[in-house]
Amino acid sequence: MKDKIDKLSSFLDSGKNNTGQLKLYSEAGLENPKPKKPGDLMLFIFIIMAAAYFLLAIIKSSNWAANVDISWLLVFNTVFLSILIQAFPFLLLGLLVASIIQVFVSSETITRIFPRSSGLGFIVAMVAGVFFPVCDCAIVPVAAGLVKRGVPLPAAVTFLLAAPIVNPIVIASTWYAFPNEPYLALLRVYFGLIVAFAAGFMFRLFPEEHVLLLTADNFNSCNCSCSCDHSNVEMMGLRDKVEMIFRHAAQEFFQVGGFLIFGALLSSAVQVFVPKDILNGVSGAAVSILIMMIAAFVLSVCSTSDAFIARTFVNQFPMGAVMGFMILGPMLDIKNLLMLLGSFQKRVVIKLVLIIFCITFILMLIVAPWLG
Amino acid sequence: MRNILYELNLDALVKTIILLGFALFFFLIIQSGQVLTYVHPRIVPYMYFAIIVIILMVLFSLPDLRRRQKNVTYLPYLIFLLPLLTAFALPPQAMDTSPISFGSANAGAEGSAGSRSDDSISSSGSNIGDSNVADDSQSDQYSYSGREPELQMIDGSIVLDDDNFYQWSEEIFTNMDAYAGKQIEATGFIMQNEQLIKNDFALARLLMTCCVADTVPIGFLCRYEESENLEDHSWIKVTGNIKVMDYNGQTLPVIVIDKLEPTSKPDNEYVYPY
Repeated sequence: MKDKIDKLSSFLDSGKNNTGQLKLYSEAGLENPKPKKPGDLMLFIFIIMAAAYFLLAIIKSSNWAANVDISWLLVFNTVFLSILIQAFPFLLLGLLVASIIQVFVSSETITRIFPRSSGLGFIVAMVAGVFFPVCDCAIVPVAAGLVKRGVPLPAAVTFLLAAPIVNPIVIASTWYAFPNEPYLALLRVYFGLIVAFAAGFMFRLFPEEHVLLLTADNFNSCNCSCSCDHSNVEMMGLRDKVEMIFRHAAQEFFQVGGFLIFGALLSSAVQVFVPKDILNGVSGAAVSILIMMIAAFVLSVCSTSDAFIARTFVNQFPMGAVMGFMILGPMLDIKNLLMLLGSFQKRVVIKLVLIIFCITFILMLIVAPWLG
Repeated sequence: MRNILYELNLDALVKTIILLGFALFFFLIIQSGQVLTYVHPRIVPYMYFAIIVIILMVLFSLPDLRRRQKNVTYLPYLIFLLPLLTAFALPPQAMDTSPISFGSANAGAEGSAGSRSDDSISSSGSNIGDSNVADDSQSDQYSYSGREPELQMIDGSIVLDDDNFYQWSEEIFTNMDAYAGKQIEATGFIMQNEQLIKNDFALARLLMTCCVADTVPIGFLCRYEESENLEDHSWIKVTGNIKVMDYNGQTLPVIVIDKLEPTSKPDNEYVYPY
């Protein structure tokens, strides 16, 4: 308890003394120690879209082009917004959970749940997802929050990858999507856990020094301006804690939300504009597995519904490749990757991506003959 | 007045506007029922949750508005303004065919440029304005309970409606022999495809599991003698018999149509697996 109070007190003091707190996250941009590039990119996209919109408005209002077909844009926009509409509530939920962990749960408690130096940590990480039924966009902030609270990266990685797959909703939807092959739902969980564990283990074998981004790293010492000026530790009541949770969540929303939007933009563009033909004429187990894994990455469908998408590929691809789609999708996709970049060091993210991709590919190559 | 402006924290102001913008957008589309063009009804409670969280975030951040900051860059916030801009500026457009089947969404949009996109624009465009009108019909759609509809034949024939389309399709595809020769009644849109035997088409509905991005067409192959006059993507109501046949190497239930009549697009054109 004493420890906790000390922690809070240093938390608050540092907040009070740091006049550049807001500057930190506005200047550092959404994500990056080098804010220039993504900022420019986003500005570029924004200007293009704004210009396109005004052009559209002019065309629509003028008579000579009254019949211009803009339905492709409307479809694109609808897909884009629908991804955001269903992802935002889960993102907010994830941010709230991460904030609650940050404010209410002490590092000691977390370390007790995630034992540092034993295989037990991995087991907890794999099972924890069952009790946290959200999809992949909510899990990134939570995993980052766990790392901030002292959970070792290997266990956090296993949690990050396992949670979207052992999620009861995901299992149920896989069950629904393949009513004649109920064993697929179980196999999906089984293979997913293998990949999650193996990826975590790789991070155990080859540890990383700097895990989180600077902005996120410094969370405890700088960027929460919450209630700093008017309370001291003893007075820190429930109300202040709740306030801190929401302010923290709001701030994180602006850190990772941009990545979610950008990811949704990319994947809806792919869905609407890339012709299906590129998936045809594929032969060979390895190639088809690879193609389905890339499809899962690019499409960025929510893990709670991707089984229904996977089902539509069953006639075109061998089951091993379809399984690759369902394993990789929840762990890694465009919007997920961008959100990871918003919280973790680029080096860690690249390593994670390579590890997940290789392990999934090799595993699917091994089991493909049995799946057919 | 000048004083207030000077003390205002523009950074916090922009954030507040963005957050409230999203909350307002969620609220307006739920009110107007447009939300069903975007996502599964199951998502609606989560959207209310999001609205509440956003409002709390804004309320707790209000004191920031008075703390003036210098050297603020707004670049990171532009990406947040983009979806808000398109959300309020462009009406939602329902999909004709699956976006997941890649380029087909393009083809679908082109095919519908004439008749269909017109009515979907006008119907959705009116939504924000006359939310009162829409309200009555909405209450029904939100009473969506998520329970499994019971599959019962009515007078010896199978009747597929909005609520049981997916469940009946699954049932018939799974136990097709049990339903061979049975009478069936269904509503859906026409999907023509070159790979089908001449004059055949698919009677389809779009299955939405989570949001528009994951819709896939499901339905039955249909055989109809005068099908060359049919327009792709138009909505029809058919009555016919189920025949199990070997189709390009696959055993499939096919509806042999006795009666076909054009119909209007249903209020909610999606069907849901659960």
